[in-house]
Amino acid sequence: MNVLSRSDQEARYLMFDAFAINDTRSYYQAQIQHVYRVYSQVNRWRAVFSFLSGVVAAILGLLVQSTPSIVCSSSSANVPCALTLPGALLLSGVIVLPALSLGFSLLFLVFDWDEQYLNMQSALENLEIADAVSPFAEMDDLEYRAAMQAFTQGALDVMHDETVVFGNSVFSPEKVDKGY
Amino acid sequence: MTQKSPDGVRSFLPAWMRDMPRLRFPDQPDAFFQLVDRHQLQLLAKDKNLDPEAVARIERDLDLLEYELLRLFRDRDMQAKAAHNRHRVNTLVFILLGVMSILLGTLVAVALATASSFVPVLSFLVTLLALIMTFTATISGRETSITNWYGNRRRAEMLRREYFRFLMRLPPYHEGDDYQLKLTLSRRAAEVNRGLAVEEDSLS
Repeated sequence: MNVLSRSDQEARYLMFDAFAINDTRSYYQAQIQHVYRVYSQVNRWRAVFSFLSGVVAAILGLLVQSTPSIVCSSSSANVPCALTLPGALLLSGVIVLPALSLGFSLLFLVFDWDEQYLNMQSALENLEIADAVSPFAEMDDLEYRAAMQAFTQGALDVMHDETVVFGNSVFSPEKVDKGY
Repeated sequence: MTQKSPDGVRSFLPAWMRDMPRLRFPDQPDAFFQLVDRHQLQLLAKDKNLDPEAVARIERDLDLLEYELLRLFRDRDMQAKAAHNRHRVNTLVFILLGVMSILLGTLVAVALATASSFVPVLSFLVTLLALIMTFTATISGRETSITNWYGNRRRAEMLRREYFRFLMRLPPYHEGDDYQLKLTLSRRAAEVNRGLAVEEDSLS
């Protein structure tokens, strides 16, 4: 048998608390803050470029309607023929700004910031639940051992649940594993 | 939590830019990375007045884990990060190419009505863009970076949990002599590294 003594259990509990629980908690907290900041920044840029696209298009429309000299007389589509510098800049804006807005929108699909945020927040809350069954010094040896096991397993379960998104789809079928 | 890549100038960039992938990614893991830092463990022992013999036994376990498990964790963690980085590079390249094709398509439409002399040049650029997209799709399709990322990350996280499971003597490490424990650790670490699922729910 390899039963841990009480001093071993206490040392290992403090080590686990410091290097697994606190590290994990700090990581989740830092990630939640980071993801929230990133989400806000990208969302702001997306909104700004969408807004500017509309404003620029409206100004260009106004310019074209109020300055007939820059509109081709032969064209029925009201396309500017002899663009002034402001007209050219506005026209470029109408093309570039929606593309930039689209680019920032697509970033959400790549990075899944909103999903990451919810995932981390849920893991952090579950970690606190696991922490609630942590052992304390007044417990006798048997209780201390049981509490330490429940606490450790609970914390490992939270880590497991947080990363399960990486796992299930790439588990190979059992019979295939057995075949090799 | 995981091996860190060097930050450099990234620390001065806005948060969303720091999430962008790297074009040059280190191909070797950090050989000194530890899940339990020994220096900090000594500080903790001193601070909490832990039994020196208990701390010495933890250190012996750390020595065993270093060879049996931690080297596998470092490799898997690094491979997962590299595959994740590659997946993001590929996806961002496609986004960039897609946005550029929209821009060029719009410019062609405008040029048709305003400056038709530019249409051949713009059309050439659109063709070039289509060729680049085909080329990128061909080379990125061979790497299956998302499968590598998921597979390696899952194994790395299972190895991390196994590391603490052993240190905390959770089942199946709760009984047996040192030799049996070492054998069990070695077998389970190898199985996780191979991609097999090991039993993790010890209290049910």
